[in-house]
Amino acid sequence: MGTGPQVSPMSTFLLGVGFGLVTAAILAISTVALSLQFAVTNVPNFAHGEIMTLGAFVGYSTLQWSHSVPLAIVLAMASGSVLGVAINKFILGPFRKRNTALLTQFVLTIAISLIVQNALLWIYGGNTLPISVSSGLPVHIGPFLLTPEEDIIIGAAAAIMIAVHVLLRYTMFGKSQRAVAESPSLAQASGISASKVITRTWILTGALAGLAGFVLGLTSGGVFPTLGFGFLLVVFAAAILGGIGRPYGAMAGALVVGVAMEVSALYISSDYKTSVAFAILILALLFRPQGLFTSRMAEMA
Amino acid sequence: MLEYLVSVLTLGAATAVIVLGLNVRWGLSGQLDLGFYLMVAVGAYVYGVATLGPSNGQGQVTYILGLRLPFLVAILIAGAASGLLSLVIGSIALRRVRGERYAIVTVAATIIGYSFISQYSPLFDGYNGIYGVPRPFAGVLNLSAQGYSNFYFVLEVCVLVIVFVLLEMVRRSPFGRAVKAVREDEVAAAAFGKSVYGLRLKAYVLGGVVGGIGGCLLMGYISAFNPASWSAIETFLLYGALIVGGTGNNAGAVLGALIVLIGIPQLAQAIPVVGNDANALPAIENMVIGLLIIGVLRFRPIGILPERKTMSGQLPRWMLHGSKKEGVTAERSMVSPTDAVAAPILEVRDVRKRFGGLYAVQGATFSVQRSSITGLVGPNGAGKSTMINLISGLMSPDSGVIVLDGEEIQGRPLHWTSRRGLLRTFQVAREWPKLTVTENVIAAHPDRERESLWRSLFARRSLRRSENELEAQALATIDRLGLSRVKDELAGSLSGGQKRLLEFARAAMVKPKVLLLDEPLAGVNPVLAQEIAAAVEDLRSAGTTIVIVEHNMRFVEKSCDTVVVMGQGRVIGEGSMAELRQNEEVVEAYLGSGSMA
Amino acid sequence: MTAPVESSGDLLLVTGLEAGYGGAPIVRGIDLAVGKGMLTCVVGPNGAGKSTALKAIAGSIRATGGRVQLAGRDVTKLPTEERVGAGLGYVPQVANVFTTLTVLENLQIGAIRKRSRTKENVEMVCGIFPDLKPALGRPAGTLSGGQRSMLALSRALMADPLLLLLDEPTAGLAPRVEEQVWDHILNIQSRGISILVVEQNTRRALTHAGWAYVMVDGALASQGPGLDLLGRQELVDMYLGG
Repeated sequence: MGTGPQVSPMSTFLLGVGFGLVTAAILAISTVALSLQFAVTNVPNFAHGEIMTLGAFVGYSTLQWSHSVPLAIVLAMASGSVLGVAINKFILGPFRKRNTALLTQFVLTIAISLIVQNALLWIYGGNTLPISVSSGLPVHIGPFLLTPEEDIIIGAAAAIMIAVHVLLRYTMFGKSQRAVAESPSLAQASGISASKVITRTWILTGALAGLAGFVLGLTSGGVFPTLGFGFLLVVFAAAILGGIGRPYGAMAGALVVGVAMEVSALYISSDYKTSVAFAILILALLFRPQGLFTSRMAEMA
Repeated sequence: MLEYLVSVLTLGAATAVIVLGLNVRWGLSGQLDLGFYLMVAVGAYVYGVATLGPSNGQGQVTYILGLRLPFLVAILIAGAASGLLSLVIGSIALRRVRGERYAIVTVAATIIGYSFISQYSPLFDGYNGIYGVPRPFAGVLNLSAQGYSNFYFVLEVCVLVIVFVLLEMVRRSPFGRAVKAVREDEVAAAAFGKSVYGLRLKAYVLGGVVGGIGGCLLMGYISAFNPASWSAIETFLLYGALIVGGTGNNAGAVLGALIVLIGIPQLAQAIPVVGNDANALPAIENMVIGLLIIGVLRFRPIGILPERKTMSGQLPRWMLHGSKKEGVTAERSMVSPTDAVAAPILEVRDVRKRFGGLYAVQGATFSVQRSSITGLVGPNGAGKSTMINLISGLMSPDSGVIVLDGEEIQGRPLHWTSRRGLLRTFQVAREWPKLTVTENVIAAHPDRERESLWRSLFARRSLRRSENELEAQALATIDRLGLSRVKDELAGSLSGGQKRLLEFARAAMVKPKVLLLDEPLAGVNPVLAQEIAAAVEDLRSAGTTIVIVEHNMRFVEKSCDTVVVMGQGRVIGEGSMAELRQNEEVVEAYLGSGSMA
Repeated sequence: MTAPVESSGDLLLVTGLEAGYGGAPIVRGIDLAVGKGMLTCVVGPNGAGKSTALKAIAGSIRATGGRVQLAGRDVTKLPTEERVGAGLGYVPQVANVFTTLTVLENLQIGAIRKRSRTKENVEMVCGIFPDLKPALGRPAGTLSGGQRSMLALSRALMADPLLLLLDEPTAGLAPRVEEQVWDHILNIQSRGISILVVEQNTRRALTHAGWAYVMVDGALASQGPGLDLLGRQELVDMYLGG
């Protein structure tokens, strides 16, 4: 970048947008997961990053002994689901049944984050474990400069978004999920078991988070215990910008935050990339907590 | 051995101060601040900068100002710095966000601060951090290494004791009580005229100052401070300490700090298998803390040393049911003698209120005579609750006028009308559950000047006098309402009926001009209903005008001088119950119009 | 004034029902029954506990005492969704449609326990409420109050209930719309579905009710055929004291 004939500011900008798409892709998968989960539980899961990290590590370990990326992906997703279901069954579920305040449940997810992150630290150690997957050369696609792997990631994320959309709109599971998200009591009055829907939602969102974590590890070149935690607030930024609890808003929010982060890295030191996301998060929470696309206040307490 | 113990406890004392600071924010004020460690860091850094001498061979580092200020001055400056930062952050964050949102803002802000400080080298030398900070009084005293360690430990303990005593004073003061009231139920606090935002902000800043002081003690001990010492996870560990030790209890905060932040690492080191693995050790410690948090919240949420001795084991109400509505700030309150004047004390003229397409109140007009007991009745959906909310200021009418003692009050917020002498109760009792009955009644008193933080620390004698007077007044009121037996019980543990009587006690303390009672007899047995009727009459003879929304017609008939009936958002009748029973429109409002077939 | 025969012919049998929201019970021990194909009403002044009783029968709050039997089966310990599976339909007073779902999706959710009958039943409810048909693709949040009532009823009908519990179905509706809703209720009854209605408009409810219960202060003050109760003066006294 920057060699050869004059590079116009616009094309630099677009290159940044291209990189942003990769971040946005990973972010979108993770944010949609967070939003779907929040929609049915009303608790922002502070351990969401750890589900991602777990997926990353499980994927890493799978790669180590099997050298198969598809298998690593499957197991990463499976481990995310297992952790998600475990969180719901053993911790959040019981406290929810006793009508514990959402704030206290939030504190519990912080404790879970502490446990999982440090468990991974204990098992794998604190160093970054490198993941190297052979990567193709960057190729120009329109104004963007992306490797074939990055193209796959963006394509896969888009496919997942479409799949989620189809799931929510056209399957009974998706409709039940939206019903429970709006009113658990009315859903029950219609014959839906809210707790079954919640469990299934955790399975889905855990899998998505595990996948996002593994892909994040791939694009970062390595996995380490705070991988997901560092990403967590970026995910919150995207979720809140899009209106937390709204899966479609989450997709849009991810796009905005991902692109904003990468584009900003062109103009200010890339050390501050995540700070840009956090700044967006703070501004969103303070001034537009319902997200850019909602006209009424989203409930969060 | 002694050496080792002293060094461990030195760390413990500094940590205890930090957890005490967190206790002000989370324990006293109920704010889930996940970025608290930023305050500690700021305190440490500023103290370092203040005490460093001129360049001592570290090369050109911008933060070396060569001030070499003495210990006490440096601590005060550092505390002020973290206080100032708290003021800035708090004045923005506390106005706009609550609960989990607030927590997320604090983490994000802290991480931004962390990124900035660690990456912007000119400030505090980035990741290297500050080091070589002189130990307090080291140059002055001529002690051996061990002797100095002991000295510093004692110095810290002195600071700890001073901070502890001051915080206890604050906790027991009218200010502390008011902060707790806001924590428990901010709508009720606003209804009694408290400044919700102001109280929260003061508690927030105080917590920051104490945290900063804790940071100074750390810096004085370690002589160095860099970003590795204060990642986001540190705050979570502090919460572990506080939750285990006892949220809201200062001694619990100290205990929790010692057990969780000192004890667990020490224990972990003693376990042979794990103790030797430098990597695994902190990880396991943190896992244990995480498990402890979950375990404590499940089995003994109040912690080892609960905030109050008489508390039951279950989660305190403010951790159980978050209160949503925001109260607003207010001024003075009113106590007034009765004037035997003909003008009604409360007038409602052609008030309208719409919710979406539905008219809850459409052109309601009535007036309330001074010193009367007026019933406000009507079937469900008639608009009575909305009317009460409009009068008290919880909602604003779309049009129309509400006049209180000659002054227009429509559209004014809850705490404003409360200070003009209009008090209301709620359908669901809104007691402050973790305050005792006596404290609930005293806290209801409208004199807000007593509840200043300044006074709790510096005007204790005059406060003591007024506290005694108020307490006597409160006890007399409690006695009149038959609650003496439970005066020291936590209000949250009272029965429903007792809570109702407590609401009357609080109202009696305020001596408002007008009292709006929202279904005071809901769920009340006949005996209690008698007591309530007596309490109402009592208040009237003390000069308060009373408006009662009720469904219980027998009570209304017996206790009210006159009755106003609402139906479909309008006033459809005024007079005695006997008259109203003859009024066909009234009967139809209750029984419906019947079939058109 | 005798109660309807409490025989196995009763679709719903409630005995000794007690319920509350923590603290003192609001429903303090009531017995009621709904016979097959009957329209039964519960009326009474505010605060009497009518809605609470209905919620306890539906299962959305837990009864602290007593028994609920539906079609001979003891459902007291079952959560709401299971009672729906056993033949109960429940239309709460507020939040009775999914505003973020389309009308059709609302109906599909209603039929979730009887998936195979979804298509048929959509036809059926559109037959009863023709206004719904053109609105099938619209979000339920865009419907008017009257239309929402119809949708709420339809949603409950989608599961082929034996018994419908209606909590103040005409609350907040204009008088003309109120009439329409009652027409629909009677229409539904004529199809053989038993109905238990808590209603605010006492006179209208009593006009149509085969049997009616009057609740005051959490207990039954009176019961009998609707038209019987309609004429009584005591009724006025129950509401307005005296």
